[in-house]
Amino acid sequence: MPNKGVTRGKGNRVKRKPIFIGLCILAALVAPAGPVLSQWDGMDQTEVHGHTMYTVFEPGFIPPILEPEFITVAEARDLYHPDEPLVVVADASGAHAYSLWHLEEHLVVNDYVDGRAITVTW
Amino acid sequence: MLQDVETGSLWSQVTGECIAGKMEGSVLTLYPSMMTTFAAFGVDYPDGRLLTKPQPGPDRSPYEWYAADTTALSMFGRVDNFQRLRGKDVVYGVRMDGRQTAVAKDLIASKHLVILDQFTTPVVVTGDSTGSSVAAFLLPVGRQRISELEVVGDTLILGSGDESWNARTGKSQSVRGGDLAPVPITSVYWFAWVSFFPETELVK
Repeated sequence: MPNKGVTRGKGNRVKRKPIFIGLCILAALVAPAGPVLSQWDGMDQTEVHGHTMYTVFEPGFIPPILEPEFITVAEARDLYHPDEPLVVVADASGAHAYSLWHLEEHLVVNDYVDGRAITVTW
Repeated sequence: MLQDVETGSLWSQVTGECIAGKMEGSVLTLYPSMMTTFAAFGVDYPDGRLLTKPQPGPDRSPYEWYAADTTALSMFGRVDNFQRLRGKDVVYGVRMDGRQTAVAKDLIASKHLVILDQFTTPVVVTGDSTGSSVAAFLLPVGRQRISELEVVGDTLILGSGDESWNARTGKSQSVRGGDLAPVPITSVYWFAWVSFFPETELVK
């Protein structure tokens, strides 16, 4: 759901921009106070800072879009519905839009804006 | 959770923080974006580019069932005992100055303009009547003029109209003033937002 950009971390300089793959591991970190569900007991579990993280899908199970290709508005009229929801990232050179319906099948798009690597996630 | 290919580190999708791996402690910077529709995008950015899709592509959300099920909170069977809002209510979250504020989607859909004045620089949140096309910007004028702002159609207007902006893109539509500075905003279910930010403020 949220949209993210990539830049340096706190006090650390990222020398190369990490490429993200997406949502491969669903964590009980989301619900630290939630109930423990028996149906997850057979899954790989990892302790992370006192929380249990369950591996539901292996990395890359939901394929990210690593090399996005873009089309013009005119070309998109054959592919997009008028009310199709989009996430838009804009910079001085223009705007890139990503269909949420499409993003929901990939969850991650790696792109560039303002010359910097970004990751668009949903 | 996100994982970067280079180091295998794990990153929270909601907070942007690396929680495990070589990059632990690093934090991604949230980049401004907006939610809109294809029809509106064609008007606002006629030279814009859209991510190509396979044809035939999805003609609806693959998770339409999940969005419609008000009882389904993630995959872990959480009970909806959330306060202030129902767990599956959609909010738009803003994080600035070490604070977090969520704006209910229903509110932005009915009011079209919500001003968050608790931040050092107030934030203007605009939206259409569906609450699905939403953007946020830094307040372009002094606090004393907040009451002069309104959204009319697709336009954010100040006072008598001497200054106005496209309410979705923040582009200036008047001779005076410049473009609005965008503010990152997160579209998320309430249960997820409040789980990560339990001290969040809520505007509903």
